Formats: sequence, structure tokens, C-alpha cells
Amino acid sequence: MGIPNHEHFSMNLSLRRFAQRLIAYETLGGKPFEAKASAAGHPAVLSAVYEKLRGPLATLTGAAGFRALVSRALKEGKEEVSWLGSLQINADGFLEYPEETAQLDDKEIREGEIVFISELLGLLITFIGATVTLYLVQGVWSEASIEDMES
Amino acid sequence: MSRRKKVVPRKLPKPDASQAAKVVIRKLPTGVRGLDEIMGGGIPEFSFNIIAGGPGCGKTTLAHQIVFANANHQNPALYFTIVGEPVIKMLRYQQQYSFFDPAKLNKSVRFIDLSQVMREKNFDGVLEKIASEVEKASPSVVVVDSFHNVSRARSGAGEIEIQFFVQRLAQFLTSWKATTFLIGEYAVEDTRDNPVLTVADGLIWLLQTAERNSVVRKLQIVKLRGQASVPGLHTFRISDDGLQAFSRTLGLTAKSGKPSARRRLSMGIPDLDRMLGGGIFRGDSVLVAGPSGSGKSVLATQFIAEGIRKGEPGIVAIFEERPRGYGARAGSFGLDLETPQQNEQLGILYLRPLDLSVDETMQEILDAVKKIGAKRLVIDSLAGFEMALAPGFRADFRESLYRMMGALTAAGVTVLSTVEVEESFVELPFSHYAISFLTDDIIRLRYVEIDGQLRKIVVVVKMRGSNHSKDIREYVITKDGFVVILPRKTEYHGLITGIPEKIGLRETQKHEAPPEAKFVK
Repeated sequence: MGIPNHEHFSMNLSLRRFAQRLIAYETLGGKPFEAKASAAGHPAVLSAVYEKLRGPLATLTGAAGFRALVSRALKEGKEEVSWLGSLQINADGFLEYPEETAQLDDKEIREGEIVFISELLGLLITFIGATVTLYLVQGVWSEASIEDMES
Repeated sequence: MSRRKKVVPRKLPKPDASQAAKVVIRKLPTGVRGLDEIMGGGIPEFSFNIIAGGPGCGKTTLAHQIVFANANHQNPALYFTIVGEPVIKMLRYQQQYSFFDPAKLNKSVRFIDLSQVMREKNFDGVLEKIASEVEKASPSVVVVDSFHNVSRARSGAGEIEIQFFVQRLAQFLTSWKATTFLIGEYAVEDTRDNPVLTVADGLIWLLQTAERNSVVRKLQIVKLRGQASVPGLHTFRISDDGLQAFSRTLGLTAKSGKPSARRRLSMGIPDLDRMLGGGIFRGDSVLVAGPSGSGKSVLATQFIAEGIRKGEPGIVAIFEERPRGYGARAGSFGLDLETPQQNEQLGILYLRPLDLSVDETMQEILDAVKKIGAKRLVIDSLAGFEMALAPGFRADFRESLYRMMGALTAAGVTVLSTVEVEESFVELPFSHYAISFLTDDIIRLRYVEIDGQLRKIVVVVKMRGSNHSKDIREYVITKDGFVVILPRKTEYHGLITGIPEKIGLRETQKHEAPPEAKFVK
């Protein structure tokens, strides 16, 4: 396994901060996310960030393409936050939450979400670049800015 | 008693067939330089078009250029992909082009992947999804990419089913006032009796062939309802700016004819002007033919320098020599080409050798002529020009040259071309290109053996619409350039063969100093 270089490390940090900012837009907006119950009946633990990204990204990449991206993001994220490996994505792109996720505390959930969203954004940046990714994100959160990505 | 005004029913004027209001078909820009002109002004609004061609020939890039050129907040564009390149990869590559504007993404330009819909619900599902997205967005431009793959992927689908799908799609999108493009990988054999192609209002065919070591890209407007396009195959190139098309007419079809009052221009060589009957006519095409080292480029440089002196900007297109060397050589004859270049009175185009398309090269020349309003143009030389072209384009050389010369001279530009001819001692060929018909005037330079020396002679062979000197005159290249030195020789016979025969009295020859230096680097 290669040792991540400085650039890679600082990119990861920026993405973490960017993901945090997006989560903050959702959680500090005063409107709690009313997640749909997954097929297994366990409630969603993540904020609305993923759900809001799902629509435009699935339209853009197609359902299969979107599932592939999310699966890869979960796999990458599992290396840091193990419970992400227990999440599944269904045919429509919704996340399936297993029973164990109900036991997670807020800190664990927030940490997992930051890692997962940043991995997803990181994959997008790898494929389509930071500028195009930012424009896609701004389609959902118009207040998101390049400073959010760079800070 | 009320005074009612009698209402006389107004008669509507009878419609005059000649003045009946026709529907005005607006034209959308393609965003591709040169293509609007080829298409007769642009893409007819609300038309249903097919962009066809083999893999890698630029279909998707063309569609993207059209989309980004036309999409804005009021007139969004929808780009559907069905089977083919995933959108995420498409975005990865297309954003490399300068026309790609990420700020339009998901606002005025939306990409929608329908591959899964196609897999699960076939044509009906695709049509339904396209309809629902179109109803939501009311787009001005719709692209369905890659359409032909749909019919291939659905090998069970009959021709009727596909045709029916396309017809429904066309009807729906036209009524929603969308200009539509289906992208399809078609081979030439797919076009025969193809019902899909019958439905289309426009068919843009992109071709890519490898000839020897170079790739030749051409496009053809096979069909375009409602307006006249420029027929034939047109070269195009794909660069960082996307596609650029080069019309066979070079965009100069509508230019006015030669000036009615024909003014003579000086070549910058007084004796040669006299041989030409007072100079060459403005708007003429002059060919200077001669062997290597005979002074063709010197003569051409004097022609261009004289124009600059007279306030006529000029362009020199060179293929064999670099601009610096060309300028330095002119300097050795006392001609300053640097200052006029700085003052935009002169442009020296060095057209990089090999792999050029002829129309692309001509477009570069035309752009340069237009930029500085050039009145004189030198092409030095035609042989170098031809060699700079990709092998696949050389077959078009004469035809394209003919079009360019015609267009430029009609616009009042005087063109002087040089051509190297192999010296023959039995005949006086003008060029192996058989391009004499392109030129109004021909000046022939050649070597002759006289009195134990290899000397140079000049003769005006042709001067369209004017008398000219029939004299064969000797010239030298000195520090002042091309200088005609002697009156016609009457004591020799057979000068144009290069090995003349002395028929007059032989004079004692004076000792002659070694020749002057022509050019010091």
C-alpha cells in the first residue's frame, strides 16, 4: 500500500472540512431531516446530505453508475470508520441501514458521515474535477463555495 | 334620429402568393467555427437532426459544442445518454475543451442517464422519461446520445419498432419546440433505406480516415430540410477548442467581383514593371516560376515591400523558411520587414510543415489577410505549401488553391505565388502543377548558358487582359535585389532552351569579378 503524500493528505483534510460544511448546512438549518425508513425498517442515521446529492448524481450518472460510486465510497470509508461497511445501497440508490447502526452515538454517526460524504466527493473530484463537482454541489446548496472546498 | 355610421365590411385583401408570409425559420448557431456557413446559416430551429459517423470522429464533441453554444437560463438544454459513454466519463473528457462551461451544468445544461430505463423499460420507458423531463424543463435543445446503439442493443427490436419510436420522439420534441440531435454510430451501409434517417430533417455525417501517416477528418451535410447548405465534403479539425470546420467555399462565396477600374501595381522592380506593361493589375494572380536559386523569393519580397511602401498591407505565407530567416534575407537587400510587422502592415505566416489540411491552411491565410486588410499576398512557395499538407489532402490541393485564389482575387487581393520548376533544356515548363489556368500573369525565370557563364533570364509569358513585353531580358540578384540589367538579346537564338546559339558577332568578353554576395546570415 502506497504512503499517502502531502498533497493527498491535505486534499483529504479539505474534503473532510467540505463534507462537514455541507452537513452543517443541513443540520444547522433548523429543519431536521426526515429520513425514509430503509427496506429493512431501520431508520436512517445520516443527515439529508446524501439524500440531497442522490437525486442529481443518479440522474447524471444513471442508477447503476451512482450505485457503483456509492459502493466505492463506502468501501474506502470503511477503512476509517468500520460501520460504513455495514451499509448497503439498494437498486434505487437508497442506503439500507442495518440494526447495529441504531446503537451508534451522535459522534460516531457524524464521524462516519463526514468520511462517507468526503469519499463520495473525492471520487467525483477524481473523475470530473473540483470545478465541475463544485457546480454540481452548488445545484443543491447554492451557498457552497470554493472556499468551503479549500479551507 | 340617430346618425349611425354605416359599417362597411372591410374586405380582406386577396393573398398574393408572391407576398404570402412564409414561416420564418430561425437558425441556431452551432458553436463550431465554419460550420454555420456550411449549414447555410446555422441549424434550423425545431429541426430533428442526426449526427452520424464512426467511433472517435467527434460526434459527441460536436453535440456538446451545440449544447453549450445555445443553452442559457431561458433556453436550457437536455442531454440524454442511453447506451454508450457514461456521463461521468463524458464530463471528464469534454471539460477539457474551451467551450465547456461548468457553470451551466445542472442549470442550463442537464445530463440525464437513461441506460437503466432502456434496460428495464425499452423504448416506451425511454420515450416516457424523455417526455417527462422535457415537460419539466421545456428545453430548446435536446440531445439523445448514442441513439443507434439503442437499436443495436435491442437486437430483437424490429425496424418498424425503431422507426415508430423515432417518429414519436420527433413529433413530441417538435411540438415542444426543441431542436433535437440524435447521435448515432452509423456505417455507410447502415444508411441505405434506413427509416430513421428518413425521419430526420438534418443529417450531419462525420468521417475519419487514416491515410498513410495522417488522419483526415471530413464532414458532410447529407441532408438539411428548409435551407441550402454547402454541398460536398468539408475538412474539420478537433483541437482544444473543439471542432473547427473549413468550408469548401472558404466563406468567401458572397464577395464582390474584381474591381471594375483596374489599377496597375508596381512589382518594386521598374524594368520588370515596364515588361509587364506598367505593372500587374490589382486583383490578379501572378505566378513566378523558376528553378531553385533563380530569385523567386527575392522578387516576391520586393513585390510585398513595394506594396508596404505604397500603403498596401501584405501577407507572406512561407513554408520552407522560417520568418526570421526570411526577414534577415530581405534585410540584406535593404528591405525592412520588421517595422511593418510591428505596425501590422505585414504578416509573415510560417505554416508548420506536415499534417495540415489544405482548407485549414487556407483559412489561416484568409484570417491573416482579413486581420490586417492585406492587399498583397505572397505564397512562397506552392511546392512548399503542398509538402506541408498531410498526404491525404494533397489530392485536394489544386481544387482548394483554385477556390482560394478565386476568392481572394475577387476580393481585390493581388496574389503572387512562386513555384519551383525543374530546369529543362528542351522546353520551358511553367510548373508541374498544371496550375497556369489559375493565374492571370506568368513570369518565368530561367538559367541560360551564355559565354561560359550560367546567367539568368526573365520573360513575361502571360498577362491576362493586357499586352506585355515579349523581350527576354537578363537579370542579376544584387544587394539591391532583383535587377534587370540588359535589353533583349538579339545575338542569341534559343535562349529559352537554356543553351542558346550565338548568331551575332562574338565580342571579346571582359573580365568579370566574382559574383556579389546575395545573403549573409
